[in-house]
Amino acid sequence: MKSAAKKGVSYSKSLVTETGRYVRATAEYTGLLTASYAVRSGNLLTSAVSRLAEPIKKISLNSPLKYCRETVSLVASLTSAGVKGLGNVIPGSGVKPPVLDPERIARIEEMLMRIDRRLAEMESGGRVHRSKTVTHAVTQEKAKLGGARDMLLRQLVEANKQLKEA
Amino acid sequence: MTKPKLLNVGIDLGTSRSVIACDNGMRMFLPSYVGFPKDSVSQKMLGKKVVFGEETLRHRMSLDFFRPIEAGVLKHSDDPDKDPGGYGKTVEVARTLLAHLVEQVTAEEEGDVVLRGVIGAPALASRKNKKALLDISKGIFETVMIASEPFCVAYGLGHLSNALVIDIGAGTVDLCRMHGTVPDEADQITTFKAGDTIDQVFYELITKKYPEAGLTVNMVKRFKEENATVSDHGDAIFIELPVNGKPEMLDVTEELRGACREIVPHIVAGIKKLVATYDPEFQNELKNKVILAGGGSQIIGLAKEIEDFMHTALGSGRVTRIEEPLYAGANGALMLAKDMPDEYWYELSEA
Repeated sequence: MKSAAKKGVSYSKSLVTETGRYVRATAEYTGLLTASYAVRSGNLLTSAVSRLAEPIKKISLNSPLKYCRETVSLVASLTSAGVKGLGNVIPGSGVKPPVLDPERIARIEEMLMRIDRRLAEMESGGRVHRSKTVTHAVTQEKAKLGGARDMLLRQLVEANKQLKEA
Repeated sequence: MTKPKLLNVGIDLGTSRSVIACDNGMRMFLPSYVGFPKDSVSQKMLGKKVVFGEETLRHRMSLDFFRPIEAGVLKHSDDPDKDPGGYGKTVEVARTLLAHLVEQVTAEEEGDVVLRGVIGAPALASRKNKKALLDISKGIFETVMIASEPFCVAYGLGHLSNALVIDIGAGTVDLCRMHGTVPDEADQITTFKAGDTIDQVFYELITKKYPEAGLTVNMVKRFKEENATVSDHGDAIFIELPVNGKPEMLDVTEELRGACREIVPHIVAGIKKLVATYDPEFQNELKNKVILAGGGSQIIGLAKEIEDFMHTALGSGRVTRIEEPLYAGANGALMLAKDMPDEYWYELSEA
């Protein structure tokens, strides 16, 4: 009787063990299947999106849209730099704002002057230009004269009248 | 019958360059050189009776070459009676140059135009010098006005009070402090150590260092205009010159810096004088509003050099080089012409 009971217990134990194995295998399989579906769905989605996006990307690279893209990225980078710079000057952060190197500034100024001079050279040779942006004197409408300015002009006229009469 | 179109013009007749700006949007500059063919052969070759600007330099061997402006004013205009023939010729040449400038900016105008102009003159130009400018404008403008060149610059920039304008030209450097009125003699200083002095010193220094090099003042002038610097930064500067007929690259870095620095002591002495004699209450404001204009202001590092001097001699100073230094005088003169009320123009024409 004792041995029959022992056998029954052993049978039950192996049954539980086997069931556990099946459950684990099923869970593993289900997991793998789900992961596989997830990966395949992801790939499918990526491929579909990239197929859809490719023509738009091409257009944006080879059209005026690229300037928008560049501007957006420039603004983003400047903003990020600004935010970083702001972090540098937050009181108590222990970080001092960067000190501008005067030599570097001088070099940049020189560079700008060279560019200016180059532009002046390009304008040389007695060429005539229709200027729209540069001479605000040219584009500015006759302003309403303030009292001080009117007085200056009056003085100038008087000086010129004297010159003519001399 | 249609009414003629009224145009305002601002003019800066310079020793080296003449600049014009018109309110129709046209503007130009031209080296102040005029050439007339020496004979019928050169006239045939050139295909014209008169040549202007750079072209005169290219054909100067076949031209009677003229630079009508000297030290910022018309040649012989200090004393026209001393050499009436020379003065007469200068007026004729300058008028030709002025007419050419006006023609260039009004070429696209259809129909009749009436011109009113403001011509810039050096800060301390004499009454005779200014009268000479009126002489050359006869027949070109309906009415014309003469104004101090640095005043025109200041007016154009809107710096009419507590500002010091330094207009660096080829013949003169004009310093003028603005205090809300038309500047008088006490407000202005003219020095004659200007662009032409730099050319001469640069020429002499190169000839001293490279006696075998072949060069003329015109050659070094062109080179200076492209490379002028007083800065110790930057690359070495080389000029290509013929040495015994063979072109060679010669290092002229120190010579160019030295020549450009030649004008600095005269400018800073002028600044010191104008600041020291200004109302003490506004001296700081004046020191912090020093404005460089004219072709010479394009010398690299000049603003900083002057600023450094001002810190040493005057405790502080801020020097700003304006945008478009070449056109500043003509633009300011044009603004004056445009702002001038019609009744003022009328008064002047009737005087």
